[in-house]
Amino acid sequence: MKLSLINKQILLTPAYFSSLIQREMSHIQSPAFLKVVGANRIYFCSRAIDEKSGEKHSSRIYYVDFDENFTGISDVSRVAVAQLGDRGAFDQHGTCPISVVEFQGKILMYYVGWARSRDVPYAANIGLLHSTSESGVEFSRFFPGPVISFDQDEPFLLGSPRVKEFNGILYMWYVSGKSWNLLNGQPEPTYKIRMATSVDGHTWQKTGKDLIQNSIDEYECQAAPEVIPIKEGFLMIYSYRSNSRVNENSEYQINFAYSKDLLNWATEPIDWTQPKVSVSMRNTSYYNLFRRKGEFQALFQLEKMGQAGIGIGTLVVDEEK
Amino acid sequence: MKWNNLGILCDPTNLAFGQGLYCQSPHAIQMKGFVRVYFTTRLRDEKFFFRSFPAYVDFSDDFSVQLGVSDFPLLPLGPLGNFDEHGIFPFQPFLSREGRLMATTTGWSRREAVPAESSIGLAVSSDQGKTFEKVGGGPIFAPLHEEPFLIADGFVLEHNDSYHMFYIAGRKWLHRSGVTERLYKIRHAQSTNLIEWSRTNLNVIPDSLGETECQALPTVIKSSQNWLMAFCFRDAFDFRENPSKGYRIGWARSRDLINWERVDSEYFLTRHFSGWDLQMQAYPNIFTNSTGTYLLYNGNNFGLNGFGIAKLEGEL
Repeated sequence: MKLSLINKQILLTPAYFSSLIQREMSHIQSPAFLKVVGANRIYFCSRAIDEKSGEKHSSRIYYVDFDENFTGISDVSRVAVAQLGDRGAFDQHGTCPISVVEFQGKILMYYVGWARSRDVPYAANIGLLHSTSESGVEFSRFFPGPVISFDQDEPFLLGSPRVKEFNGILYMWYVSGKSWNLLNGQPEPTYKIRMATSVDGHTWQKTGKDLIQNSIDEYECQAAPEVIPIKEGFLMIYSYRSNSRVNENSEYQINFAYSKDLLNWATEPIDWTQPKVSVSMRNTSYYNLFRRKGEFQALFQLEKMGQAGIGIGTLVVDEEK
Repeated sequence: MKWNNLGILCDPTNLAFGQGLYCQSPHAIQMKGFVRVYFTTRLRDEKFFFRSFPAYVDFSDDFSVQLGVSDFPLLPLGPLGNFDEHGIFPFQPFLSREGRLMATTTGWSRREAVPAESSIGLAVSSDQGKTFEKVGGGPIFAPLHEEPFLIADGFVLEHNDSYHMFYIAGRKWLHRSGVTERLYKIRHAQSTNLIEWSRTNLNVIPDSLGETECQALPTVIKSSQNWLMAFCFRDAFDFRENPSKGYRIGWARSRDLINWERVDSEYFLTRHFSGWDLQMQAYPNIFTNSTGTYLLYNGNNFGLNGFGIAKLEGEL
């Protein structure tokens, strides 16, 4: 199989989004596509300094509507599409990243909720929002608590949900925390990609297994496992980085995996070539893939976890090679 | 029913381990020829925060003689970032269907915006309860769906090939006059394997103080016709300083483990003349053996000065 990503371009920067909503925002993260009437909508997460505390940031969910060819903006969410969680809730301090799926006539949004901790910087778990309007402009929580639970095998940090429907069943690829390690005095987590299934979107059956072999070392962090069907089987594009923030692999980069059954994944042999790109287009991550005009369109965040914004490109999959 | 209140049974300043602070949430289990009472005691960490650890003291069957104490700790806290990294409280032993000595652990980790979060873990002993090992690194019962935070106090009993767990779940954080306090209620779940649980998602014990009643530490035993639950309850606000708002012992009765009625006045526990439980009676454990029926519990200051005991006069 041969993969290439062509026609990459910057789609939205934090500075431009800030000017659209008249508020100072940093980062455009975790883009998620949804086709709505008359527009190509992209939900994403953006950060602002918390107004109450005046110092710490909170990450919340917004959208921008693009026209048919992603050249002009037709609408923007002026406020976040969902509230943060209540005091003491798992999602009190942030909602990021996200995954959007249409299921049984509803727009569902799975998200990671964050709460700041004491000896580690944060705790995280996965929540579920649903659109309270047909148009996906506002979302509310299905539950005040998370939609999946920590268990004996998954002690902390559940995150990076990517939900897709295949044959009437919802599949969630997500990550589960393995360890916190002190590196230069800072606690740094390690997390790995796993899978769960559901028939209603609320109750999930975990498969209880790490799916993707490590590329760097056992402490690598894996994230954003986006899965699409191809002619023969399924393709996963995921992000990974070293758990250290100071070495050469500290920025997320992407890799691919291939599966015939959605549960067993092989990272070889896939020939992945990326054309030469400008500096700001390196280290893209958190891909969201969707079909448009017979092609796979790719949305991704740009370097430094989306501080440079998000981009769009076309993923060319050649299964013959 | 009349309790004969016998006063303090275990004083933390007399223990061979710990820092002389707190023996909280006693849980008795009958061993061969003696009774073992598990509890948790607190140590201050390097940042001067408390951390709770489980331990035990052994007594003669009628609690008149103290026999020995545990190695300490009998179970380590979890690693950095884990649900039980900052403490285990309470530690609640039970026998599995196969006769293995197991325990639920309520693990605590501190948060920034609220003091702490908690979930319930599981541990098993292979040396007659001297030490325990955790079953997996994470919890077996954690926040989910309609139970968003503060899952704690998992009391497990086996009945008709099913495990029943009575536990508490945080419902919301309440705000009044600039003060934020948690509200939690007793709930019920069932399991066949102690790992996968089916939650009833209902508050199972009626409130006697209204909606802002906090309920904690349910423990259940079988009486002749019914199930009897001891627990503690208090108002959500002003409970630390105002004795009339502090924890006291509540009672509930059920025929089926599902539907419960409050019977607080029938089992009312008088205060001990020494005053050690004058402001608070909390974290009860009801226990029966061949010598009688006992209530172990904590007094003032959430167990700072140890746990005490009362004996029921006559049959349950």
